[in-house]
Amino acid sequence: MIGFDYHADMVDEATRAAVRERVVAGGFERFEIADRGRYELSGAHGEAELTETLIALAERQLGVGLAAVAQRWTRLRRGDYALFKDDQRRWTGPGVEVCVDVSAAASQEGQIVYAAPDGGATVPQRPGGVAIVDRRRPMARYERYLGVRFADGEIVRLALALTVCQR
Amino acid sequence: MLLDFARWDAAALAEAWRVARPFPHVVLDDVLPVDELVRLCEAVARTPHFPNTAEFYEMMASPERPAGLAAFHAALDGPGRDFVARVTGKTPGRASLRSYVYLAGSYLLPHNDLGSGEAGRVAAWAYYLLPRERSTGGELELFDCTLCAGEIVATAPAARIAPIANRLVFFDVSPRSLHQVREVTEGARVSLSGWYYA
Repeated sequence: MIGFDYHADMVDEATRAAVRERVVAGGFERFEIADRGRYELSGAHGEAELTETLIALAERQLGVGLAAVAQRWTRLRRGDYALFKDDQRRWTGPGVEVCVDVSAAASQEGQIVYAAPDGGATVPQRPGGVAIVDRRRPMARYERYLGVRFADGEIVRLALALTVCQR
Repeated sequence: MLLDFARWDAAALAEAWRVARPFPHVVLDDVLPVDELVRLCEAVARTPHFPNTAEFYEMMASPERPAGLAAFHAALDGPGRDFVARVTGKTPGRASLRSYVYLAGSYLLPHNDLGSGEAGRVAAWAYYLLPRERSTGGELELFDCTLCAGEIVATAPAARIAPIANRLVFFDVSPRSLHQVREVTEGARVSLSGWYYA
């Protein structure tokens, strides 16, 4: 069993819309290396209140002190994906990863899949959902390809990399 | 013989293989007599296919070497080895074969077929069974790669091979052999494919 918790509806619709608007206004850069992934990326935009809320949630869940060491906002549209190889290049751990979905709509596509030697977990693409993943043991993740079934939507997510620290 | 490799000029194909971009490959058309193609399609239709989904692919696949395709496999694994050796300059051993059905929404994202490196694949092949008008998408796309210290740092689509019925494609397996099957957006794409192993 991997250390994984999923909390649905943790961020309300109004907050998601406001956050999404600010993130999009901050701008995304296109990332595309075919054997890693294709998506839009923003590492610079900060959402202090949301970040603090997510860290506090993860601390309560895991019973340890946590501090952010990296973050990335991603926006995925039809044709986009992120493979294990991309995670290998980007993950700064070991530590804890927290992902929040601030998209406008839900879908049955674009799930985040975590895989470890002793199990796995899948994060549904649901706006407002928060996944807390204990990545202190070896683990990798990918984001499923968004194909013809996804149509014209977009997925906006924040992934926080956290390290364990003294409270 | 189901697949008569003597029909082709292996020396000319070896040159085509060598100069092909973005990485070595050759395309052979009208590979089988029409009645053989029809029989092969019927054999694939009788073969069970199962959902096959992972990090970078989603399609339906048969088990390895299904019984109904034994003659085609025997041709690739027998005279095909010598033919592939002459074209590629490599020393291929056994050939694998599975059949694949790509329905709308199926895809195979970019990868180089090396796998874990322990797979020992030296060349790949694919053979297409259905007329082009039976599907939209599903092309085999080859990428040009820029490597820096062994790491791919940039990629660009460089060639696109349509899945035309009775077309057989051989392509190299190397760190540079990045390729994908573009998502099928309509209809169905049916193919046989596999690898030659060292």
